[in-house]
Amino acid sequence: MPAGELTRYFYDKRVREIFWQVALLAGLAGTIVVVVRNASQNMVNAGMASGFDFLWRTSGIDVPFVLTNYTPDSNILALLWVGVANTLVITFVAAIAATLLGFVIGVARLSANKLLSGLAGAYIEFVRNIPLLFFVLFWYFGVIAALPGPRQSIGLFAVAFLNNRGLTIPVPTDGTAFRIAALVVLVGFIAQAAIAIWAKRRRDATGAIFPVWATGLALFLGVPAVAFGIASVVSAWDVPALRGFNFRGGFVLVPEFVALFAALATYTAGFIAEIVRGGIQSVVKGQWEAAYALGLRPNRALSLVVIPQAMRVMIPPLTSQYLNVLKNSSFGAAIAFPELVSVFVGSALTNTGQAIEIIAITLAIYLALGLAVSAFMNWYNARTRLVTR
Amino acid sequence: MTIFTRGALGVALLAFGAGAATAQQLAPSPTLDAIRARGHLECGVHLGLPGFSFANDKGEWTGLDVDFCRAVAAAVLGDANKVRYTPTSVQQRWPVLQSGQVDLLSRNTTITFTRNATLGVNFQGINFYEGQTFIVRTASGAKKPTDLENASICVAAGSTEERMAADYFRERNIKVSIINFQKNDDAIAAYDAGRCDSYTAGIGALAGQRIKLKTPGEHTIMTETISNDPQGPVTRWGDERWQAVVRWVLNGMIAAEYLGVTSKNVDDMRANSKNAEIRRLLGADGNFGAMLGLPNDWMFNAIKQVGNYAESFERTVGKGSPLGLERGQNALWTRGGILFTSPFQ
Repeated sequence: MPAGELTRYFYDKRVREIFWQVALLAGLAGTIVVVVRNASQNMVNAGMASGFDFLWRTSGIDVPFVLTNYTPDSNILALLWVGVANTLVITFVAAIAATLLGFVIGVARLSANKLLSGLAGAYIEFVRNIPLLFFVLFWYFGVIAALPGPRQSIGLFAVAFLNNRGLTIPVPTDGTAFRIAALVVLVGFIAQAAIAIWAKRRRDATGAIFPVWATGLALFLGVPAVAFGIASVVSAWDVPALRGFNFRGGFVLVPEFVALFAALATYTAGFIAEIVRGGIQSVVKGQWEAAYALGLRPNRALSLVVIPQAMRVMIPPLTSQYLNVLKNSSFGAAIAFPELVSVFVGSALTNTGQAIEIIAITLAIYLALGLAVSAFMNWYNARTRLVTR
Repeated sequence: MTIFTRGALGVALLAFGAGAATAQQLAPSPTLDAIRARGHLECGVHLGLPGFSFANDKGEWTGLDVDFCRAVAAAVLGDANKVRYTPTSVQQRWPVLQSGQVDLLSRNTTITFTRNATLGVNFQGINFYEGQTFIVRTASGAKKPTDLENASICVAAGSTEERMAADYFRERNIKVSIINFQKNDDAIAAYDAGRCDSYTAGIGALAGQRIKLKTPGEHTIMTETISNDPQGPVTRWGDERWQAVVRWVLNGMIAAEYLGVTSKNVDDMRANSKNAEIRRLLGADGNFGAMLGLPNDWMFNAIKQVGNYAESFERTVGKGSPLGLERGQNALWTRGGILFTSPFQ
């Protein structure tokens, strides 16, 4: 190849770009290989066990809040799933509660009522300027201090008991009836979703408003009440009974769960409230006026005109708040709620000593969960985006 | 091979032979070299356990495990105060030792098979025979571990107690709820706040932790134990000579008690004792210190500045301390305990 051709390649922008990208990738891959090889060689030299075999070792750890069929005889992989399940559950319920609370406070912040908007503003400032760990510990010791000991339990209809060991609720010994009931309820939910879509189409086409809330009330509250009512009558129950130090039988909702849920919900709600306020305020005044001019009442103007436009602004920052809830759920480790960090990085890591593997797995799980939340929110964002003409 | 190279080889061999004859060749010990170079011992201790490792109101570390760090510093550097303490939680202790941040872990740590086999650490003897038990509110009426049916038990995650308690109750088909906290202090605080009916740890550790409770008098430590937890200093794998130093400082403290050498009479003993083992221990005869690459007065300094095992025990966890523990298993075998030592020969 003559020298001229080589220099021509050298000056070709496209070739140069490809060259640098390949070089960067190769460098990155090389670094990773060297780091991993060095780390594993050093660990072998130091006599530290490595590899992922430990996941199949018996865990031996007793976890007080289990949603899977884990027992201390299960292996460490099963323990990992206990942590993942608990993290997912707490994140899900806390995110929903934070959203509801945040919307209420955010709208209250904009209220013409000075007392209401002042209270909402004070709440937001209070929450945003206090570290989350304080919230978690405050709720935790608050919950424990507020509730009585097992012998002075607050009985609810003599089947459920609330004390500082948690809320003990009876569970059916055979769940078949409840599974059928849950299926019925699910069908109800789907029906409600279909009705909502049909009502929206009809409204868009004719302007006639269908009372969606009425069918919603029936399908969201009425059907579940009847279905679960029947299921609970036909099922046999494992009713908690006081024995030894506490109630035996039933399912225990531990105070750690309640405290972490309350802390995450109240804390995140403060941030979501500001996002809601910002979103609503981003809709120009003319939109309100236009809605009023069309004869819409204020609540309909809010729900039909302003909120849909505000959502466009609110969803991206809401996504990061949901991700924060997911990550902040690791504060459960501070109060012994058995979420991912607590059971896996706490108990399993110290029992096996395999820090690198366990940290890597935990990081990968948080990353996967975070990306899944983002993907869902991006999909939702794309769906609810304003269609501009 | 030329005459010249043969000659050079001969000279080298001669020099080597002469060197071997004059000084004993010591295996390299990077840890000892590093301690001497920086001028202090790095010792991993507990975050705060009265009687074992606890910073007092003047900020000085005290306790049985701290005393051992001090004895090693005295043996190696001639000054028991040349120690820098790294307080570690249940989880932090291993990485801190493995990474070389501390030379030695002296932190009421139980000797277990998997720790030895998979963490790359060695246990250098036993400085405290511990047994796991439970602390409960006296008003609860629980007297022995099997009384704890349906109890909530607070425990530090990743401790031997966590698994031992789970195994114990599962084996007996007794349902309990074990609440795992990240730190001992968090678990104790939750127990004190009423979240748990009991907190579990070793008898000695519980005696120390009880002092932290709001009203220590309302709590009882059960006397029945559910495990044997031998605890002692830990080093990482490699550097055999350093491991021998740690092991023999501990043996030396126990031997000193057996031989009647105390911090009070150690000068007199070194000068006047006729007992051959005492003379070797204190460096009056032989060169035991030099064999490990230490000054010959290594154990003399350790005993003079820290005391023998009995003095350390009584001052930190025994009758001379707020914990008030009996020697029990931790007495010498000649006095009904199981503390045994190896001869300085």
